[in-house]
Amino acid sequence: MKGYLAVPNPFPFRAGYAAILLVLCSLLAFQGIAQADSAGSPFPEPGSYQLYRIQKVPDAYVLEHSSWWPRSLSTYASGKVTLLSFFYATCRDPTGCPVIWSSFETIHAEILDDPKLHGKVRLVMISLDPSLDTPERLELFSFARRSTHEDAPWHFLTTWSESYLAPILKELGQAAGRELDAYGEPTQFITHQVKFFLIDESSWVREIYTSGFFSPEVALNDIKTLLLEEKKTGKPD
Amino acid sequence: MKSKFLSGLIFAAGLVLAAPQALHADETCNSPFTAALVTGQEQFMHVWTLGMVGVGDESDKLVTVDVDPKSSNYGKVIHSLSVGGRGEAHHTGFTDDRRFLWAGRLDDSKIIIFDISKPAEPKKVKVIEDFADRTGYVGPHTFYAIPGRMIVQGLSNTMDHGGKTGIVVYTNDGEIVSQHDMPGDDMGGDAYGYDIGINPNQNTMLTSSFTGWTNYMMDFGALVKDPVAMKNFGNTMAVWDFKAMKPIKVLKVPGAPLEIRWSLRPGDDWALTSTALTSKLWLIKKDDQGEWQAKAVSDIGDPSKIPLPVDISITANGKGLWVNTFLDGTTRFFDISDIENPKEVYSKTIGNQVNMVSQSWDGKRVYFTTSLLANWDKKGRENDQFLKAYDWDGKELTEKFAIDFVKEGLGRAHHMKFSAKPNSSALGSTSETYQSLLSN
Repeated sequence: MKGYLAVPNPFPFRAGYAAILLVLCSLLAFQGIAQADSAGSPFPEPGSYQLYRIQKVPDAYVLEHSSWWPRSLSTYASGKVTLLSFFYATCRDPTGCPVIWSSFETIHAEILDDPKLHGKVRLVMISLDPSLDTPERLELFSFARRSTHEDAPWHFLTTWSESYLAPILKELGQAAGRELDAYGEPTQFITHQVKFFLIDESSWVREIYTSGFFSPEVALNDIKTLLLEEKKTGKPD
Repeated sequence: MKSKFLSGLIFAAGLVLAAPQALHADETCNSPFTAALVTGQEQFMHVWTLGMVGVGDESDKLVTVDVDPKSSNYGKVIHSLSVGGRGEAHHTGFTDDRRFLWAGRLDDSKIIIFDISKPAEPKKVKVIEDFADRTGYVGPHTFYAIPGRMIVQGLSNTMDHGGKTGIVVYTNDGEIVSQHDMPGDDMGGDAYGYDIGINPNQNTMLTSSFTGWTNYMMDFGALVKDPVAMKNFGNTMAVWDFKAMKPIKVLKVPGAPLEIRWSLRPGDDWALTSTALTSKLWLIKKDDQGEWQAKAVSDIGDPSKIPLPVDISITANGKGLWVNTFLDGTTRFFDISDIENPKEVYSKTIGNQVNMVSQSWDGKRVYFTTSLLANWDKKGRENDQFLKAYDWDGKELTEKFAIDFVKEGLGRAHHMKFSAKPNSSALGSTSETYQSLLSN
């Protein structure tokens, strides 16, 4: 392999942290805008509403820890309530992956804070750039969260190639593409919709969020709603 | 604790940065969940067009017009895709990823889905033929994108073809997720439907109310002379808990409230609608107690002459509103800087009749089409059918081009949507090209 692929970024999460820093700096400039609704949350209480079955998570092979051991995506989308999103480690768009990272960090912290959620909720991030985000590189992210894995598992998945990734994106309706240059040729930069998929224990997508209107508070309400529903239907705790 | 705070801080910053895309929604009238905002020069205009007896192939069709002034095809029809038959083509809506355009027909209740990933050459990829059979609703009118799904507002029902109807939520692939009746007697509603407008930050969905199949398929001249039929129009709007998809309040808005436009200005939490029969602008806003209320804030033209307000289009800054009145073929621009006291500051006759209005994100270009409903359009020489494009400098509309849809053999021009060439290629679709690029 030559060129870009031959000289991978040895510090795949630097760009991600740089983007987070950029976001932090931007907060200082925009802090006056970020104010909660003084009238209180307009969203309903957990368990007081229904989340409808939207679609099944597609069958697909994904990779975690090793390129030599493909696993079914359903392994990561069943048995627990799952929040899934797509990212890539070198993402530079401050309105893209940093939003996903920070949202996941907040929800991860909330899960750790609430013993009732321990072991019942899983976070999954799938790379949009399998050429750079190999299982070995993503291991760095997993390793950093090893101590919380039992209570609040957080998985970083990738695929063998874009060919394996594309059907997952298509089935889930996750728009992502390589930016075109002035000649209409694809570049190494990936643009993508920021979407979050909330999946129940039976691999059904029950809610989909987009960046501008995603709130960890609402996602946690929805997670609790699914857990309450599962309790009502007699599924094991 | 510190790390949680930091996470929250980072998240808040992320939301702030993400907010412009969300709060500014789309070209002013689409769902706020629609991606790929065309903030610059729109390149293509898709016009959902009713087939017309004696005109071209007489079939409903999606007509694509080149609207890029730099193009050699500027102002010309570059593509026309007939879908077969005449089913009362009406409104359209993008999916949230803006790849697909859903288009409805009010008579036969068919929904046609077009792939517009190559916007100069839309392709028909699916037809949903069982909307009425599966749901009991008739006349899929509004197509409103939410993440991964499409909300479809019906106008009528299979039981009596009156105005009682409901909402159907589909996946973007066209599978039904859920359906919801409009609020009826138990809530003081009339169970009618028309448009949808969602304010995600308030978790609030508004719906409006028009009339059923019997009325919208009736000859307009006969309809207005039929006092019984004229009673069968909606007089309400409903406020919904969007997350729960449950109506929570019915607002009295007499005279068939039609299009709903939330202000796109950050911090605003109000919406406007116009009433077709009573010719008024209505403001929907929370009162001091936090309750949603509706109140009439302005007349549109001279209500005693029943100018029949139809489409409205709000400017991105929430300070201006285009209002078309069908019967006098006039567009009117309202200054809504003081939303409690809108003022008409400009008007222009566009043709013998005018229905839909679409403006570019920057408000500098405004487009108009003519058809309302096949049996409500004017007859004979008064039956203008065109797409007209104008520049707007804040004081005057200047015509840039006009396409006569009858002379071009197309039909009745109705709903318009903008598109632009994509600036990326889908992952996986060009992997071979990309690999080749990398190895060179």
